[in-house]
Amino acid sequence: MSSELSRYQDPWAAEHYDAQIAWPDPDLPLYREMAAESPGRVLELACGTGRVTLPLARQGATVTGIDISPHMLAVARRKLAAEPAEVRARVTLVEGDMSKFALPHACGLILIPFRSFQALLVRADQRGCLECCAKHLLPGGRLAINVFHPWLSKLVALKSAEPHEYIGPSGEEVKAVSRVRFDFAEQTLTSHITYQITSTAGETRSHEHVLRLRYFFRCEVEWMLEACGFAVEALYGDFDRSLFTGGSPEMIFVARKV
Amino acid sequence: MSPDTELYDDGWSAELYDFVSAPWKSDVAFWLSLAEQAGDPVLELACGTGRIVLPVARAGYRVTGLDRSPHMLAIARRKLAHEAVAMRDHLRLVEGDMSGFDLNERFGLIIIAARSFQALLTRAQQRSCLEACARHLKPGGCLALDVFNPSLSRLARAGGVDETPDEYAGPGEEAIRETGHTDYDLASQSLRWRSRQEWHDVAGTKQVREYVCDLHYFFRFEMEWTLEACSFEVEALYGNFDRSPFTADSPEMIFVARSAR
Repeated sequence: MSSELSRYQDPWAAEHYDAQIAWPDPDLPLYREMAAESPGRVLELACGTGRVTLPLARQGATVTGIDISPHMLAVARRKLAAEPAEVRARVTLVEGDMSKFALPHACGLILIPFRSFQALLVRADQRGCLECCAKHLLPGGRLAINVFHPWLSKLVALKSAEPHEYIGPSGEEVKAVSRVRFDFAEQTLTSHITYQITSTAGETRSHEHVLRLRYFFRCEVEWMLEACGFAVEALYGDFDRSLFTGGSPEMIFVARKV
Repeated sequence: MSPDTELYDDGWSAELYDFVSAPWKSDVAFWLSLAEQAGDPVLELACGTGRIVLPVARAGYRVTGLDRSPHMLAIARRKLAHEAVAMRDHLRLVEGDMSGFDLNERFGLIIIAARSFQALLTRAQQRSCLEACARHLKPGGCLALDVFNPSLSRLARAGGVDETPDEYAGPGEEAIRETGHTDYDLASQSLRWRSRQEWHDVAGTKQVREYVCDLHYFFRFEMEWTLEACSFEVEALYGNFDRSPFTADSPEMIFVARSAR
């Protein structure tokens, strides 16, 4: 398998995604609140395996999830099939590109959780995505984008991330090791991730893929949102809606269509 | 003197600036080459003591220099008085705020040199400046500005950065010792540079001046979005005044943009 396999095109990554992201969903309460406050439909871009889409549908929201990966969507569909009929009826899953999509409905709320926006590496795709969002929002509708706050003290020295260990979907032990390379002129980071996999029978093998992300700074995102027809309503430094500071781990922008 | 005196808001720091900046030549040829391409009249925002507007006027272009500081402009006027009469008609010096000006004239080229744009700390001020620029450009006119390329290792240092002490001869040949400290606010993307100059005057009395200078630091794509949001199209980005391409280690970010209005 090519070492340049992108994480987004990797069927293996889709099957492992839920096990890898051992995140206790710290962002979900915020998105739940926003969905409850918003009239109309909710749209989640880069919905992946449905980590956010499904709980929002369970609480009563009508949700559309878009993802570029058919493999991720296959996992989401499998999970959705296990939900009660009324939840299933509220969810639409669409294979598509977040930088150019066209849906038949306008929405009251669009969410781009968990750094997915950072998969858009160039300004043309960032603009494409935000302009599509503006087109799909009802008047006064809101957009929430979560990107990480660049950790400058590490950014300058980071070569590899801490190894990450988890139990895979078939009970295999997986150890992920990342080599990280920054391009400071293009504001991108590239992780070459190698997975050492030990099956329950004790067989070992390895798997590799590449994750490329753009990192954003605060004022840059604010100008970008303004340039694409949004007014920034709030910037949180974490999912508890705390104020953004120099030490905040996250940047969560809430913007309203102008 | 209050330790919070802003740099260039008094006569002494304006004289010091004029003296210290006089040898800075590397950018002048670049701005002149832009004037050659874009044609006059030329407007320089935050022209200071005339380091750039004077040679541009000497080269035969009609030039307007705008600055907020009457102390800086007084020095520029003093220098202008020594120039040939014909050249004096080429150069107009105006006291005014770069974030909101109305000169009732349109220019072929607007220059914001020496990181002056970074003195605009808020997005509202930055937008207001760029919108004023757009209103003052002829169709197809050109805006060029330079900001420094922020050093991530400086930003990353907790507690700020002690600047290397410097010793130099001042305008009156006094031996000035300058120390400084820079603090970065990562949330607002701003820095506060505190500087202190010490010397002994002719009577042997110790003199001390302390200044603060607040600047916004821009990242590359931030500036591209800023220009785009204010209806400019970025035509070029250079990493230095020799027009070398921008790289991660470039000292400068020099943007050349055209109004898309």
